Amino acid sequence: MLVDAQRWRAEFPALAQTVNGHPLAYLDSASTAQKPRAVIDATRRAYEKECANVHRAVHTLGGAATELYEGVRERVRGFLNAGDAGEIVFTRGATEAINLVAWSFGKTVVGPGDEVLASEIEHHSNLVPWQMLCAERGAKLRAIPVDDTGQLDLARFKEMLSPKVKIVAVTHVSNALGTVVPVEQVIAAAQAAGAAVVVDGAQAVPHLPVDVRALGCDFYCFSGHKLFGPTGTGVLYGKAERLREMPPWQGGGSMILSVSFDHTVYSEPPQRFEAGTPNIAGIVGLGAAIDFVEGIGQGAIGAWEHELVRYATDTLSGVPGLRWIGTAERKAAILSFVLGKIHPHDVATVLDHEGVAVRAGHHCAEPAVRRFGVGGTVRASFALYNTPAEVDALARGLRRAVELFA
Amino acid sequence: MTPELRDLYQGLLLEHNARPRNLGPLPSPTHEATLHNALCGDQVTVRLRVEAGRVVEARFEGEGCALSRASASMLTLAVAGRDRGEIAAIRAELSKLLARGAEHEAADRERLGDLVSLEGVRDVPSRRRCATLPWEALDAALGPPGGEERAR
Repeated sequence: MLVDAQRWRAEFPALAQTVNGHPLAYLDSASTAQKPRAVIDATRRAYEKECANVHRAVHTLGGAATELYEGVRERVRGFLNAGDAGEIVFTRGATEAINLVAWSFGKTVVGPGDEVLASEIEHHSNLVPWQMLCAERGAKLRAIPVDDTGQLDLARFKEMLSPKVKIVAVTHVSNALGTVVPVEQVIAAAQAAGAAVVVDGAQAVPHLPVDVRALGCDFYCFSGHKLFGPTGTGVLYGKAERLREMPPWQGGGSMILSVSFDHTVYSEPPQRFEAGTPNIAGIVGLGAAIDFVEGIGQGAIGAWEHELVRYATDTLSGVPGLRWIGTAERKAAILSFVLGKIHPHDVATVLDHEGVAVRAGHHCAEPAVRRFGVGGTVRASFALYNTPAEVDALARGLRRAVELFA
Repeated sequence: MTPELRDLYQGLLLEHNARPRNLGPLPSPTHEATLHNALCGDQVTVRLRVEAGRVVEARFEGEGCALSRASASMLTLAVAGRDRGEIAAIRAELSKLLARGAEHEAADRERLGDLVSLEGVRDVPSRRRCATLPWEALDAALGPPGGEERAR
């Protein structure tokens, strides 16, 4: 198993560097994952060779670029097991995907007195857009509570459902705590009560296989950059019957069939939601990232991460003063903790001096962190390229921090 | 311990972090301000009692890292008994201390006293604001230089 991780690791040029005199231990993949050579090469090739705009040009390069771009749409369809490539909308990230749903779909279904439910552990990107929408529509945003382990309280959630609830927004995996949310149950209960469900899969797709048809959610989104793809790429999956009914969100080129000053006829989805020239080279890179992940297999990735997390949990539990934040039974490869009274940013600075990169703070999920009575945590997040030696470096750094601030 | 880390977390700074001076509420302050660091969610409140143009007492409260806590603690000592002009002079020297290049070299270390122990953040741009946040709160509490003293 370790041999495989070393082989995967060799594909990531950025991991081969030293930081502050130590080999880099990159434990911040939940912020953004490192990029394998295949992604970097595919993105570069899209600029060096098939560099043209999509869906416009009659010339050969334009055709080649369009074919590459639409080919990725089909690969994303397969990756999520969606029924039709037309259900895949490219965005610049999960954040934009959620904003698209809020301002196109949300605006038409949420009215005065209605409610939107979002869990207490949402990333700000699956919280603030709903807050903005509710403020504009005179609706109410309510928090689905989590228990002391950081898992959603499903009983309380079911009690909150009513005909007033139009949208339920929930994360598949918590970025701050690592909780794997039983979204199947959330989706079933919400839809039975007549609400549409938006699942934020940004932290899920790098770790677990996702089947949107089996889930049955109305919307599912993720960011390319957390899946080893380029920054500025993202995906919104929307059920065909939902997308068909939705008005455009942004206007511009590509999203129209015909335009006059009196009247514009919009394209069918997904083009209706892709105004302007997209991040073509980035999307081509995203296709390479999906090939990379599928080439290894999410089963193998999950198994390796599981081993790493188990080793890290055992190793770090011996560090004096360490308290885990988020102890749900099902967790992805994200470990959040506090270290005595030492501020997470001081811990992160000490670790950085040891070449260990972690995230510290509220992880853009302030309510989730506050729920546990702390202002911030230290977060170590793992990906397929991490090794037990990096866990050891983390433990060593944490002991240094304890010594320094004793 | 790597030497660079000791440059950042100097003994005096760690001591102020472990035993901060003037931490807690100040009854009936004449000036106060609370500032947030959006990057980390930290916040600091600086409260002052100013009499006849002089700070007679300064206290702070907040949630912050070692750098911001120590900086706030040292601030309360540095401004006590001083008028606006003297505080502005200390502020100017602190800005020099945290700057890079020739300006840094020109900082009046004697005038800065304990504050010299904040020097290490100069080389850690991501943590610089941690040290300056309490001082920005002080500025906000005192209001613009030369302006009317702002009532609470």
